[in-house]
Amino acid sequence: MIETESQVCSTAQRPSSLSNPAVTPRKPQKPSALALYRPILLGIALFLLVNAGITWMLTATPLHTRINLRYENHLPAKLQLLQGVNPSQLDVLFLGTSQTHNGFATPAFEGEGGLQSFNMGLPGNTYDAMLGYLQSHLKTHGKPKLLLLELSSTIQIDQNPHFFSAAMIYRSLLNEDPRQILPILTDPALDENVRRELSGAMVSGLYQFRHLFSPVNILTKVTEKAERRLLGSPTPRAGVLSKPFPSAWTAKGWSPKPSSELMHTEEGLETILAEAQAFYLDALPPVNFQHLKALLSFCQENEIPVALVTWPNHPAFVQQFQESRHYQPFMNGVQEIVQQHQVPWIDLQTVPPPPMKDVYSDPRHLTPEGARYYSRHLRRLMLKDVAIRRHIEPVAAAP
Amino acid sequence: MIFSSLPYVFFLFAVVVLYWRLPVRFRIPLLLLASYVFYMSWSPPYGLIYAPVIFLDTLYFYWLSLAMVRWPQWKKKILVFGITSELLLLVYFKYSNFLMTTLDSAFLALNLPAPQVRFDIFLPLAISFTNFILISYLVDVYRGEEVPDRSFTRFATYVAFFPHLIAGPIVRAKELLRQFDFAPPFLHENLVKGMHRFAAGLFIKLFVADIMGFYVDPVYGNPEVQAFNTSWVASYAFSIQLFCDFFGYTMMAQGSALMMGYTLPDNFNAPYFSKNMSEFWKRWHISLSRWLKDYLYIPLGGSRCSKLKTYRNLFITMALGGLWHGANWTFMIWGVMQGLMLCLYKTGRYLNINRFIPTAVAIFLTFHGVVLARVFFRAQSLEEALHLLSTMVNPWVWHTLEAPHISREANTLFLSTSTTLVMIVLFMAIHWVIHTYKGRFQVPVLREATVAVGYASLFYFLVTLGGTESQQFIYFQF
Repeated sequence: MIETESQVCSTAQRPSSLSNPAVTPRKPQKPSALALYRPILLGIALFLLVNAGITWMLTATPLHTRINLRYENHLPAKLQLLQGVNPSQLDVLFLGTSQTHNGFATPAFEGEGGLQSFNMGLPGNTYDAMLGYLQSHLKTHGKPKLLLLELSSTIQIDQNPHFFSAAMIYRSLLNEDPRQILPILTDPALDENVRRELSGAMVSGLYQFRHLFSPVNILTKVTEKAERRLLGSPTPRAGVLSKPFPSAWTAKGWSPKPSSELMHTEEGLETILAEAQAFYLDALPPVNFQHLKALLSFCQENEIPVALVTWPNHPAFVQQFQESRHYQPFMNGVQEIVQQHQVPWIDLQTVPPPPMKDVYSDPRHLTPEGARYYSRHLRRLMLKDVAIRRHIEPVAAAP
Repeated sequence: MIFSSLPYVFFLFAVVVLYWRLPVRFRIPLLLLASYVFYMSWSPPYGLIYAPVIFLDTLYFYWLSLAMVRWPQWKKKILVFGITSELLLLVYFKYSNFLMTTLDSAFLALNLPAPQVRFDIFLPLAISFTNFILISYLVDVYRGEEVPDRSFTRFATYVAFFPHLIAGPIVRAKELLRQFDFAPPFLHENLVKGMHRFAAGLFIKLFVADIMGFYVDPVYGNPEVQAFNTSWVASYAFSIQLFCDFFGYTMMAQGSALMMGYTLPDNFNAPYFSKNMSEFWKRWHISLSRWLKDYLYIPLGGSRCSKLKTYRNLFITMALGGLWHGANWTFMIWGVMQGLMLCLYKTGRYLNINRFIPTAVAIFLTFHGVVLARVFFRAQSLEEALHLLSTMVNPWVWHTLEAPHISREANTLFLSTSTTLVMIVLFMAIHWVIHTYKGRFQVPVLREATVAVGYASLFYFLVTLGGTESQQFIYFQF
């Protein structure tokens, strides 16, 4: 109050300043509410901008393995790779899951001849998603001379949210209708972690790739490099920060998977088998045989020659599976399908094991060496089978 | 409901909106209700069970403070009775089992059969803090520094006000209760400043304190396999974790209160740049230090007595301060070490030799004294603390922190020793720059840009580090 009076008084003593607005002493203006909230809004905008940039980078670089290392992004990458191999002239198209993705070594399979093959193995793939892809492939590139279809016990687990969600994403991408993802996200059966990842993938690339862009991870990489330079070897890391990036893919879609250290110790193998059991041997819903049948029927209708291929698994995993209650129903289902559709089946599990030790990178996936070995055997077995050979003979028989 | 969780953010938002929408006369009752809802949301059903304990305790002290005015001739007796009963309550809940364990040890030492009696007691959350607030209020009323508040609602809100309820700051009546006398006007400035402060506290808690915890926990969880470098780095990291955890909490508490127009006192002032232990305790957990000084150290005689008695007073104050943190000998020893270091500093001052120590050396020595004493503060037992300390004085055993004691679970974020050390150095450097140059650059555009980048970074960190599962605040256990 006193202050106000003295201000009034001092102003009154200077009438000239009142008559001239240019020299009127200005009162300090109170910032508007918008000005106060502006830094927060700017912060949100800046975050969204960075996030949009990262999301763009992820979607625009499907072949950059150091960025697109997760399964959700493999389909765009494979589609881009396919453009580079003249897809309408394909001799062999292999549809499958991660077992095919890692196991089908296209260079070893093709050998010296002029055989053209493509590895369309997608981690987490399912038969209904494969059917969706095949329909799309036919429309765009026409029929392949021979279609190889992966057949394994683990491909049956369509109800596992991990596979379920991936399959739906592939189908959505193929149909170019992302709206299909929304019902999946709101499905109460969906695993919470998958939901979070999918939501993140949709809303922001940053969320899904949080470990990659995490400041702690970046700092760890920097100190790791410094340690290597100063001390010769870095401190060993555990946990997610040491998760290796997948090696680069071949032009024809093969992704060699390095061996895991855990496979070389008894304790490690036990751990990894326990994980595999929980993950892959949960349930074998019959609906997947229906999807496989639908896929085979589609091939018959469109006169696409098909062969089923089963990749080998680690003997310990095979034993686990054979002892499980799912083994017999699975085998019965396979026999029924093979007889009903008169489709050749190559079981690579029956191939004598390779001489080298390092064959499996984990219980279900082959190392690069294992992949080369079994891919060469696949070609040999295919050429032995008259029903298959006639489809690829002209080029495959070439030296 | 932890401050750094989404439920608390929603709770705070709801309370702030309701607070400003309600007529003035309903605002304090709303805060009281919200505070008890907040309290009861902690680890149910214990929150439900112990909320009445806090409520009755508050009612009891409300009545005692009024009784002092009503019967002034008995006010000293009322004070003694009030403090004694309050301390007995604290001893019952917090120290019964500790006392029984100590008694067992004493019996065993005398070769007598130990009684081995244990009580099944759950320590009510926040009892140590409400205890101090109530005692300080009664003492202030006794000293005539405070007029007893006639409104129980206002008084109960002061005690249970949710921003400070769980872990302080230990506010005095003149600092908060008097603010309730007048309804603060709604100001966008306060709301925005509160949001900034809350966000800054959240950032410090989630992305400094919690990350340091990733290194500290496995090292202190496995002291038997540690070496010189890992023990030191973990102890530095723990000092930073503790500071950021509590500082972050205090900032969030201040921010929450400011959004409703109330200010809570500061609890920290860059304590790790203190030049001696006396200064450190003026800059670390300021509200506790002040409480100990005003209600324990000075009543004991303070420093206005002989040197020997000053030492004794310091010693008793810090040892009890240590014991206040927890019923464990490790806390007691930590407190005794604080007392010793304060006595050492006082001796240097009496002998007039402190002035010969260069500032940088003084800061270095003080910081390392704090770090070493904190080994007792963090370790689970005396044996573990002594083992870690033995590795810290043996520079010939040096190794990299790796496999056997670190969880290999897929989602465990693990920091290497070198990364943690780099983070510690970075933190101290940034902390020093902020502390030294704070307020020197008052360019509005720059300030706005800094706040904007701060918010963007907070969201970025939240997304990349997935800071939704925050760790519990360390000081909540006290």
